[in-house]
Amino acid sequence: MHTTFYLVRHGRTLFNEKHLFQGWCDSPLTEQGIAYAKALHNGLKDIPFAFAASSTSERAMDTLHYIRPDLTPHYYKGLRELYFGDLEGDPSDLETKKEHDWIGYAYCNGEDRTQARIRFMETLKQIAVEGNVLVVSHGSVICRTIQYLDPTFQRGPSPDILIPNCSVTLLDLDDGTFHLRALPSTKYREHD
Amino acid sequence: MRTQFYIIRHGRTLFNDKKLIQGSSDSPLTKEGVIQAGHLRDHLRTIPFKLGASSTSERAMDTLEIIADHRFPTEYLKGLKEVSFGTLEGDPLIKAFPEGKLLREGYEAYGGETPKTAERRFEKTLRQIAVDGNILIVSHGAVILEFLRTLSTELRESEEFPGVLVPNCSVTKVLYEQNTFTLETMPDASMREA
Repeated sequence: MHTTFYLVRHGRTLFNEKHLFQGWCDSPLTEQGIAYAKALHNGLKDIPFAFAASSTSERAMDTLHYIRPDLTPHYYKGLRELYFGDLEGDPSDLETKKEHDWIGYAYCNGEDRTQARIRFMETLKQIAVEGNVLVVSHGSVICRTIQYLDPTFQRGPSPDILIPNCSVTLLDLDDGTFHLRALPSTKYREHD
Repeated sequence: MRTQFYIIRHGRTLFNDKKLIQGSSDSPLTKEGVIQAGHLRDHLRTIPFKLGASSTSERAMDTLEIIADHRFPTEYLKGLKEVSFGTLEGDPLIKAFPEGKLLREGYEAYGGETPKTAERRFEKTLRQIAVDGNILIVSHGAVILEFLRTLSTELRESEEFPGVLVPNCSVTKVLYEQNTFTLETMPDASMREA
């Protein structure tokens, strides 16, 4: 079986703008976030998707709806962002975040980075079908998956910069094995 | 047609614990919140529900799914969401409730809603999903209180904080018959205990 995943990071949110830790907590899409998601609708409208899924966070559910309102959405906890534990909703100083993004957040009752990547990739395997699958998920779990498949992928900046809002990353799954097909691209959201 | 609504406020969340403003934003249920919802499921197990509906906020969806336990169909509706506090979302609670209560003028100045606007879309949503029988609703403190205030003089005149009048995992029974809502029982938090 061959699956191609179109991994989309949700549109920009209020907490992105306020620089608050947003893993399992959630905030609404901003006007710009909605505009990018609608642009992605144009960028992806000609792709035949056999399945569409997002995390259970409303920012991801809403992004999926703006991209392809014609598809039946499926929601999975396993596609959620890394859980930042007690830090959820706190101001996220970028320097502290840069450091801890590589260590994980188990120390404050959140998730370890590897643990989050594994449940994310396992969920992708569970929903895989023959053909293209649209997935709306989150910066840190997408970033960790890319780094796992391509160790040369840069580690410097925060996932927020490496995986832009409404970027699309292509991932192939062939008989249980993942391959990175294309790094995060914002070209799909440039459509008018 | 006679609809018996069981209106429930979601279980306790991380932002409830952290005293952060949580309207259109969201945070996970705490362990306590999950336990509250589990007790509610056990107490309501004998009631035949036609449908369960929650807002699209995960704290409400999770509370609903714990209570429903695959026993009846569920759906998620934007119309059942909490009052939006606009750009105040995620800020300390005191900023949205300066005197321990909702700002009557609402939160439109911050890009959010007035309590009245939220109440109208909440009520409209109840009317849209009404069927003959029992319906379970999982929604939010401020919008539930604003709706109940249209039905109860006591609640209308109360100055208490919404979270006190409508506690986490409290149940309020409202009857809908001949296009009219009637408050049957006040918010009751006893079923969140074992």
